[in-house]
Amino acid sequence: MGYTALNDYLFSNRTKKELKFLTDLPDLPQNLLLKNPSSLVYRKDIIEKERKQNQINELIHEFTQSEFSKIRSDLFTDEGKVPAIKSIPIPFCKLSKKMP
Amino acid sequence: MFTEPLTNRRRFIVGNKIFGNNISALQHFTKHPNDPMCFDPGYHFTRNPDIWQKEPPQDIDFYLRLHARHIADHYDEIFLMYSGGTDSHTMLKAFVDEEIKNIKLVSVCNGVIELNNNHVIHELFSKYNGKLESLNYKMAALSYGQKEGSSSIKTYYNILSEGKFGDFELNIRTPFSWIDLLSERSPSLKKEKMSSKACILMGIEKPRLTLSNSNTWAWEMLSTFSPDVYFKTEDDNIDQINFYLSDQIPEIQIKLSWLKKDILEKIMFLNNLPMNSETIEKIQSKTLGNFIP
Repeated sequence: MGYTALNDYLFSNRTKKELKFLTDLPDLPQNLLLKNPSSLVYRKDIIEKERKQNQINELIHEFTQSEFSKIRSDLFTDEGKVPAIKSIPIPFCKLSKKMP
Repeated sequence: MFTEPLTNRRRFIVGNKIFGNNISALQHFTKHPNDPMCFDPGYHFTRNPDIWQKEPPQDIDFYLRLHARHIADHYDEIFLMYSGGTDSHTMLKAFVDEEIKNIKLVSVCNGVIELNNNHVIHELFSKYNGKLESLNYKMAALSYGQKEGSSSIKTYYNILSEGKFGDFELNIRTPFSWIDLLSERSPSLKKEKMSSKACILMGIEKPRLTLSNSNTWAWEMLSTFSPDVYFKTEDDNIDQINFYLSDQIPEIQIKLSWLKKDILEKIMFLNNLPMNSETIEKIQSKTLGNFIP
């Protein structure tokens, strides 16, 4: 996954506004959840988390569909992941012919 | 000095174009397949082959401690990302050996913890118990979204919190703090803006070696070993530092490369393995931290 590219994508004008509310969403106090797991508050929290997850999954899907399709398919790894890009090697020492 | 965050310095080069992220670089490479593509980790010392040609004379601990001291001299507050693996523990050791006070350990968990948490906890408490307290080290757990609730990690946190360090308030956050379910690699640290100069310290990346022209050891780095997003702070007073990659103490990465070269040669000699790039790749792929995603 290209996290920087994904971040840029998610912070595009459209998605930035859509996701702003997630930043401000307060976390529920853990002690409240533990004390009263069947409460309405707890269920609301679960639903909210699912909703966030669904929205994020949708955005990631949108990102990969849009951006990965512009990359030559044979460049991806066998598992379909974004390939590593190597730095220019820095030679520093001859390979020893004897036991070090 | 430590003014540029790690994540802002790395770049990708395709032909004569420079990109800030791998996706854009790969897209450009797709259109221009004849242009050479490479990753630039962004350090001065990784662009200067001359200083790599001689093995740094001191032992590795000397350079690690020197770097720890250098960092301590420049920052009011140090957050040390501690997973319990070799990399972060060696980093912690450098600070403890230098008797640097007031380090804030941020307990970050990944698969490693589940494999060796007994070792980590034993090491941390038996070797440093009392010492960390006297140096006024604090520890807090980093939220990792869904994984936070897993039993093994909870256990780890609980055991650590039984120590005498106590928690502290974290005052840094990531660009993904608002979508902390996105990935295990998008940890959430959120608190108020800080006034003092602070750094987030990470201990990642063993040197990766390869053979150049079949007979010369060479250092290289994969873009995947230099994660493009860690902790993007919203505060200019917080820098991110990879402990093992430093323009101030470049001897750390260079010395590690020379040491690793010796180890790899020994392994190949002792096991009568062909001394070529494939063998080196295979040995390194068995080493934690050197996988190819």
